[in-house]
Amino acid sequence: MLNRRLARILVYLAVILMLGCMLFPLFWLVRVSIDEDLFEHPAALWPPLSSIGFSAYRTVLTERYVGNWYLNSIYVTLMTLVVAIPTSAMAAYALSRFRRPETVAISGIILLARMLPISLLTIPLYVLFAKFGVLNNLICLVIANTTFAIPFCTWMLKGFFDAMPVELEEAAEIDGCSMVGGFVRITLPLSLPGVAAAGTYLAVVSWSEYIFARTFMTHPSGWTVAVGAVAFRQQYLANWNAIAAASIVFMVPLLVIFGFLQRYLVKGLTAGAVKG
Amino acid sequence: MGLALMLPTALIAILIVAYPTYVIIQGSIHDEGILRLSYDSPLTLKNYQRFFRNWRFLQPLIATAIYTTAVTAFTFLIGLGSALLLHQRFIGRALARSLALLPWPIPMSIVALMTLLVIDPSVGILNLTLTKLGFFARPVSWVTSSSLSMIAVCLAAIWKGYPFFTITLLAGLQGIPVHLYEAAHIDGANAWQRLRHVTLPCLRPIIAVGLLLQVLWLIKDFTLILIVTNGGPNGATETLGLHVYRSAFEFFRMDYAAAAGVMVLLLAAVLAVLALRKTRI
Repeated sequence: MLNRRLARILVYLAVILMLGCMLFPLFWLVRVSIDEDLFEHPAALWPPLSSIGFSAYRTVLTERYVGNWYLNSIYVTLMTLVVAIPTSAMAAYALSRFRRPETVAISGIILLARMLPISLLTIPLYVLFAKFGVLNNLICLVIANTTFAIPFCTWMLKGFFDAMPVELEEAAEIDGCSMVGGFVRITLPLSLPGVAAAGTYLAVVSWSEYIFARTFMTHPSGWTVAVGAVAFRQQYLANWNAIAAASIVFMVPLLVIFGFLQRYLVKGLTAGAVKG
Repeated sequence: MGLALMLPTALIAILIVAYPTYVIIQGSIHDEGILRLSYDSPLTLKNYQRFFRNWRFLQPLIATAIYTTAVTAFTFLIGLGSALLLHQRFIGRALARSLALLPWPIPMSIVALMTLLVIDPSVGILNLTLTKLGFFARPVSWVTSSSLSMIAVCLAAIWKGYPFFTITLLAGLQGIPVHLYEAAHIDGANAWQRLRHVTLPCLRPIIAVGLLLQVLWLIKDFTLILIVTNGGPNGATETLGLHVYRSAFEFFRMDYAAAAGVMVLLLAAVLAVLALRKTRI
């Protein structure tokens, strides 16, 4: 009995220790962002009340282009979802239900796409975008994002469709549903958790994407928040107060989405990983 | 029907993956500095020679090996430890699980800024703490020291990367049938033996896939290093992916970058095939 209680206390201690270590950088970011005299007490765990202020947030929010960066990120993220989710849902369904040589070949291409290094793709995409004159147009970020979005989502959703019994669709067919009707009325609603998972993953990755945005968008008005945050540092060099505030402002939407949809995401990631 | 559903994805895959790959292979075997969509000049392997001449590939390869090995090992160990811990039953477990995954959705570029913040010589808390503990005489500039800059990017990548293993291993743990543990208990196995002979063997396929995905990811992603050190000092943290990117967009040798990129892809593919063979997944 005593042993069991000791073990329980140890578990709590370990959890607190782990979370403490892992969350400390985030805590520190918040602490720096509200400390207006960071240089006077850089190592204090919490700044004295007289130094606490939110001027850094004002600096960030009144910065030129911050609104553009936000809107750009929202646009690119939404467009990536709109393009990638339906196409990969269709492909995943086909991969899961029809085993033919052609589908197997295409699934090979999709797997290859998951291995292509980003740096390798950036170069030809840059050349092609320059050729067609769409550099500095947000559409090229959407196109570039689909290079990782579609392979990943197809892979993830295939796991969901695989886990769904075919008998349900067969039953719908017997009841007079067409094949498309069966997909729309039975399969799709049942796979909504999978779609939510893929969507959350895509939102996180598109919002965070840095390399494409930095390479293809040369004018500040076209940047996304991921690029804007880094530019902020180059501009405000040692003003850590403002840089920390910018980091927080730029990642808050993501943390909110993640907080709400995390359940689905965890399921989705594991469905893919467990199945290999 | 199946083909009709595949068509949009197949078209997109060919347009944005297969065709660019073709462009890059074409570019890598022509000596023109820039990439074109068609060439008049003869085929050449000069760009590949440039990659291998004077062991030029060696430093990026070593940096990649150090970075990938260190980050994979530690993300795995921390991920396994946290997954085992969060698998225990305790009050507030759901909240603890959410909090433990928090680094995962944070954009890499912001993780890079946080890294620069904690290692800053004048206000960086990590720098100041290590100085107070006596590791440094006075706060040092991490990004100008080759070993410290490598440690900095590794620490950041580990922090950002461990939740991936926490998520996958936690799901794996939940899939292990309880009766296996009951049988082990009856046979008198202690906690360590249960971990060694029940948990780990059951997790093996997940661990193998997770490690492979992590290694491939670390070989191809260079956002963090690009922002924190840009490969410096003297190329100490310039991994292969970053080497390709810098060659193309800092030194504008697109043809050389194409050749180097093809070699990185080959390396990733070989590692993937070897790993898949070995684990037979």
